Amino acid sequence: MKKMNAIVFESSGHLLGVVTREAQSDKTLTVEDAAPNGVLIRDGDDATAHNLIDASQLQVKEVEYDTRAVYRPHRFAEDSGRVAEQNEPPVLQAATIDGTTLTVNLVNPVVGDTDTWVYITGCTLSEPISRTVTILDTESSATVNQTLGGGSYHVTLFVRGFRTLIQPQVDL
Amino acid sequence: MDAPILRPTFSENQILSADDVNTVVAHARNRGARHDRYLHAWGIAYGLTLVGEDRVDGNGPYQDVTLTPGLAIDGHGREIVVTDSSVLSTDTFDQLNVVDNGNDPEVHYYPVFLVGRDEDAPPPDIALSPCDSGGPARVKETFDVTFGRIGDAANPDDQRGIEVGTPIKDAPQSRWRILLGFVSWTGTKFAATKPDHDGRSRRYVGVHAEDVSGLGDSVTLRSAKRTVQDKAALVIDNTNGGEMRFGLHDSNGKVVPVLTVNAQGDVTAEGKIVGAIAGGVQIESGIITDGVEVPFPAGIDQAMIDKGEASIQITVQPRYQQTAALPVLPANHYWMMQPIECFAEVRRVRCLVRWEATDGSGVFFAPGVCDYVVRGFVKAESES
Repeated sequence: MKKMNAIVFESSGHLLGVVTREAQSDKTLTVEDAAPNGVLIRDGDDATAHNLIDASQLQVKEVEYDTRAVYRPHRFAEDSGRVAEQNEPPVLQAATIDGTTLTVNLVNPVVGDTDTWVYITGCTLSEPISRTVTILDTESSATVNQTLGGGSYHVTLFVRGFRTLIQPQVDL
Repeated sequence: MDAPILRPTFSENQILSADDVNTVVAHARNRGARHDRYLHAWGIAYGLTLVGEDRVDGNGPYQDVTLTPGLAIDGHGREIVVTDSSVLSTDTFDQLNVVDNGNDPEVHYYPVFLVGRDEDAPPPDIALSPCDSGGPARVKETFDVTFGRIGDAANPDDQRGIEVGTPIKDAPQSRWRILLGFVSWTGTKFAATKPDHDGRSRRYVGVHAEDVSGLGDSVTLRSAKRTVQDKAALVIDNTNGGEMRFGLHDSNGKVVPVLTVNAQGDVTAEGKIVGAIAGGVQIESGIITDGVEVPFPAGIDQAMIDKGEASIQITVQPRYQQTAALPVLPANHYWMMQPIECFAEVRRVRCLVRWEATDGSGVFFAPGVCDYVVRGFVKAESES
């Protein structure tokens, strides 16, 4: 079976990009090979919806070649050497920042405590912020303290079972 | 060999002469000598190293040099066995008068040779019978350690072998010299020792053959014993239909390949290939999505680029494909792809495309997919 190298967000397994290498097809790539400076992800329909995911948050997984994931990687997550298509998130599902808090809203209540991951970059940040926000059983949202100065920010939300949400730029 | 080889046979009631018994011994011995001489290259088989121990006396520092036990085969096919360590004789060195007029112990090194010699063992004190001639009943296969002048270690293959079976003692030209190493001289003692000097080094035994066939479907050539880690080795076996692999072997003797050639002629190299094109070219290709960095070809890394030892050229082009990732369209309708941007920013691919359904049912923008080729050029090494 043909293989491909999937660059994934390590905490959740969401695909951020794909690479194949013909001359060394039997060697799995490393993050240093394909994303030493991180992966730039973007939503094609909104020019402001993009983010640079740092190499420290990434992992490369060898998975079975899947054309669907090659052309729309952000719709998939890695699962035991294969790619699994994730659901379209509800319209109002989002990670929201206001300068003092960070809120993750999944719209529908969760079954069991559920981890979500929020990745924030912005011109005022010297380092990106990567937060794990846990939504408690039967709840649909959670809020944590997160202080951010005025400026433009890019927020990406990773939730297992749902596609990577690359949100439009937020100006505080 | 100008006389046929005679193999002794015996019959009942035959009275054996000394010559008959000696012929039995000589037949086996000469057979071994012919084997070692014609099927093998002469040299050191084991041990026979020169070990220097630092000492100091009233005249300053010097070394006692010891020859360790070992075995060698000389060019006559003769086996030379050194059973015990022995200290090299400074008296012998001095008496041979090999020292250069302008001797400098830092610069001048003199070759040390091992030479086989036969020596009649002393006869028994008491004759065992009235008919006993009292002659030697044993020949001691011994050796000498001798020294040469500067340059005497050159042209070791100019030595000429004697006919197999000729007693060593009967042929002065039979003294075949095997180089053990070199010593330097303070004037009264040895100053230092080393195994090689001025392009001359110890020679080890070898094999003469046209054909080597492996047992167990494999042949391995090693530069050192299999238990010595990180030594170069070459394996030829029938893995994957036939492969030749070169690399260093681990402590279990298993070769970790850095160069592999398979039966189809495909070459896989972990390092760079330096050839006729400047310092060499490496190529990698594949598929890559928007936002990811193009991987380097084999043998090239960022450090080489930063030092100016290599450079890369990247070509990307959008990949056109009707994929299940797109919504299904009615028969005879397709998704048309229009590239909006497609380029490599240093190594990062930037590819954005517009998809439009020919039935007018949909238009959207999305990150794109590219086919990439990266060519790596290794600069020729400078002659500085």
